[in-house]
Amino acid sequence: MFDDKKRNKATSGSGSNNEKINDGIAGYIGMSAPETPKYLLTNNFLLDYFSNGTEMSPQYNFELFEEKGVLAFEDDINRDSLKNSFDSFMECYLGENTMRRENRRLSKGTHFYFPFSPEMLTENGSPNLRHMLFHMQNLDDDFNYTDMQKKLYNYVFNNISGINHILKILLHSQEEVITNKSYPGREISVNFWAMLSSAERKRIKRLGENLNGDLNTLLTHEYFGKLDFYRKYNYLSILLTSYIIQYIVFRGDANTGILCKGAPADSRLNGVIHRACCNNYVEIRNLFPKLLQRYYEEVVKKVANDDGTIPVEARANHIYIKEMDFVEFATGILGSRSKMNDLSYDMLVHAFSLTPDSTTDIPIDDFVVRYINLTGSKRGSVLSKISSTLPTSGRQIEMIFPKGNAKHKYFAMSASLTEFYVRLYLADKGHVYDYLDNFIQYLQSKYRIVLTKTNDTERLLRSVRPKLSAQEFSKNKSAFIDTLNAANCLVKLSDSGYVITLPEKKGVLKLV
Amino acid sequence: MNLREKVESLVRYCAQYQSHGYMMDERNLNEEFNILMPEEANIRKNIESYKVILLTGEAGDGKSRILRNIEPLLKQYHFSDPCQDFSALTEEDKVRLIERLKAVLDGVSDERLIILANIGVFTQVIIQYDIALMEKLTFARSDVYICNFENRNLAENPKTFEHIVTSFLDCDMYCPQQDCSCHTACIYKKNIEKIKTDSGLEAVRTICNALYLIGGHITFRELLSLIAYIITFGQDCQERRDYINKGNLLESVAYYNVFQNSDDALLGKISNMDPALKRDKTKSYVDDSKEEYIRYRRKLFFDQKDMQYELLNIDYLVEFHDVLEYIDRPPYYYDTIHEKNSTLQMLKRGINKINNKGKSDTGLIVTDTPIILGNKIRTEFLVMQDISMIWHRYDLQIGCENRSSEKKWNRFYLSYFPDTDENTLISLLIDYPQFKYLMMCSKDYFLNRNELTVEEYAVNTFYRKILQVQERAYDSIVIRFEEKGKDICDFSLTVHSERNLFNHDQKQTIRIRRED
Repeated sequence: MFDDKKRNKATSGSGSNNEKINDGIAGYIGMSAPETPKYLLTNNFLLDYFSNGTEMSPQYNFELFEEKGVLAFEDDINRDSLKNSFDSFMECYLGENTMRRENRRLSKGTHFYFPFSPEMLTENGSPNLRHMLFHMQNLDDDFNYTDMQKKLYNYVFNNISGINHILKILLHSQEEVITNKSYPGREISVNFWAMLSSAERKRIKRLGENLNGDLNTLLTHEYFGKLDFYRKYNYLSILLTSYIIQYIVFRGDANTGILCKGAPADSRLNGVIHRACCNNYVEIRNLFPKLLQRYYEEVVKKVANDDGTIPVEARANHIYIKEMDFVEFATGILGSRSKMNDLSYDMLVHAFSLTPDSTTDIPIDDFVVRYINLTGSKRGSVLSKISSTLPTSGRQIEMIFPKGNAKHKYFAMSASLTEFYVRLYLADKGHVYDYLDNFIQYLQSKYRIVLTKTNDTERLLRSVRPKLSAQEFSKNKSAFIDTLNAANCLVKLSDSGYVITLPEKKGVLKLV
Repeated sequence: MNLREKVESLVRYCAQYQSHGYMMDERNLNEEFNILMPEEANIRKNIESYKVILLTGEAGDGKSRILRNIEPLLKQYHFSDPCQDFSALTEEDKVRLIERLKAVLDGVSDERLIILANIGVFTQVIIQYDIALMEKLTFARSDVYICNFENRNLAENPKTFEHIVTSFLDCDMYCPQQDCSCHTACIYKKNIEKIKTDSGLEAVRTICNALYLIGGHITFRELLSLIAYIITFGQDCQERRDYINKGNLLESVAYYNVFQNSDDALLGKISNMDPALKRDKTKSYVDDSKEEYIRYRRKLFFDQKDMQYELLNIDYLVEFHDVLEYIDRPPYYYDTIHEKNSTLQMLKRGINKINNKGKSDTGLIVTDTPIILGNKIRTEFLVMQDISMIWHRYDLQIGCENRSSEKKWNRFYLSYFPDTDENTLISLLIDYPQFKYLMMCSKDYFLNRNELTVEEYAVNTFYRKILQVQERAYDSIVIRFEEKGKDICDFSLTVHSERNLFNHDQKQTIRIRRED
């Protein structure tokens, strides 16, 4: 029920005590699993800036508003059907249906809403993405927490356009509370990123600067600001989720680009380019086993022999590492969360090429690779959970296809994602329209999204096989042009000249 | 030029002919074939007042030809050396030229400029250099003449079109090749004679006009290529004789077979319009073979001058053509409430059906359901009843009198004039795809999809923009359920303001009411 006596809950921005601070692997990689749906990621991101002021979200329904005196009805005969209908409407329009439809594992006892006001944010003690986006922002030397907080408040909560006008009247029948959190300082983020090498840190810092720049554009430009709440919240969620993918790409190395199909399903792109895109996706996804290997090597070093080997002993149907049972070693030292008891003695002997009733010294890197191969594909394993961040985030913003469980995935520009990037680009440039090639170049230089052949393509796709010809790139560009058209963002000047614009500006655009 | 020489000349214009590559040079050197196009006539007439002449378009549009024709005139009126190909300039030279253009437009330079440019490259440089320059260029000014050949319809004016075709086909119809096996039944001759008749000319013009109406563009070179193809089918005399000797029928290269399937891009589009593919109620005399029926329908198109648009296999082409003709008449705009034109009324019904999913109320009720929530529960806004909007010509601009009333556009607008200080219209562009979609909606063609189509999105965006400028538009909404389960009903929510008369406090509550 409504809690009228809201507390002034001004707490620190990030690093809640409930957070899983002990999770070594997640700490090293920066995340423990994806956040689904993308709106939950945004919810968690906003909680870095605002407190919800309540312990539990109330259920917003007919009875609640009636009790508050903000909902009046004259026709008592229809009370039951009005009540049912209104409650269905609320479940849909406050976002609860959407949140639950996309994540069936959400706690049944908690209400998850779109945040029409800070009180509607849902506290989540241990976010899978570990406040990564906030820490990314905080690496930027020019980051101003209070300024960002104000902009977020205005963008998300200070909005009475469209249907939000009526919802606000219903929801604001309670006392205003101060919900701003205070800046937790820079140190907390410096610590968060302590696992990065200096080159990685440089790249993630640049990514943080990009994120802050894009957020500033999105939160302040009228191309976003004048939209209704739902579209604004959706765009904010797309932006934040896109930066999870960007993080995975940028963390990997300084060069790898995202080879993106111009359209999710286009018969022109079934040949060589399809294979190249699938290979590119695999290469990007390989960040996770690579990081995991680096992490395990560091951890295992602590129990290794002086010569850099791990003594693995097979004795009496059990495997021991320095007198520690293998399962105990995996869960205690390596931090495995999957069911290690499922691994039989024979499987372990086979995986590590052991000789029964003897001790084998295995070099650290060999041991780690064998361990990852043994456990990595297991359901619920650390690797599978963390790795799923990429396809899940990609599916949420319609950037990775197919959306199902297909083995071979690839990046592609959907109409909805394309429209978002067009809007962001034009807002960034302050233009009503721009030339298509400039936009494609921008996607490549800022987000490493490669769609056509340019001067820099070779560097970004150096390791992608098979190599793509100019003709393949040209087909991809044609498909992307169709996607832009489907997103209503394209104005054709001639057979080779195109201009991009916002859907709402397209019909009235005056060009030469 | 006798017939044989003409055929040899025409065949080189066909994209299908082996020597097609020579076509451009051949035509450029052919000083005898020169048509005074309206664009050139306009420049000649008004050159004194022009400070800037900008000709843009694709290769083959005739820009260079115009420039060559008016070169002496440009010198006479002290134009600077023409920029013959903007794309060929270096990046620095492009920027330098744009700077000069800006200076002229800003009135700080007395220079007179003529620029020939590829539209894409030109737009790209303008955007990079100074995007505001585009607005200066596009706001109709009497000292600037912009001709974007991409928007030109060569079939627009019947007289000009006739002039092009007859001049191009002009020859002495005598063939010196007396020993030719086709001498007495020369199909080239028959084709030329047919195309030069009223119905033949109108048929070719209808094909070109239809291409323009559905959003295509045909360059001058493509038009010549098309005419040459209708006459020769890409075969010279020798090839034709070989063709016949192989047992092929002369009829298969008669003019009406221009609708035959083809890999060529332009001919491919034309084959899609094949009258033989059109399903209509026209009674045919034939119960004979398929081939005979196809021939009958194609010939009918070239013979029936009054029903050529009807015969082409393009949905709603007649309606689109007629409504554009209607809107092209003064006063060029029509109120949506009073207007009785049947096609415009159908369009209105189509828009209503997009918004109301099947209902056909005459009042315009707007839905604005957030896309991310799906469409099981829709929200409607009632403020749009009796709203006044207009259908109007594409180039009608508020506060701008320089409208080129001669131009026949392939699109028009539905616009709302908001009661705000800004002197702008909120408009929905209705081009052929949008028109066709709305007409289909008005006739209850509904497709089962998950997402909005481009056309639905356009209507949705248009109404959302109107709602945004309407005061108190969102004070009352109706919530409608796609599927009504047990104890579920449509209802409305309305903002109710209560004012305390004693302390002047104002309290807002929401009233809920059943709306079945």
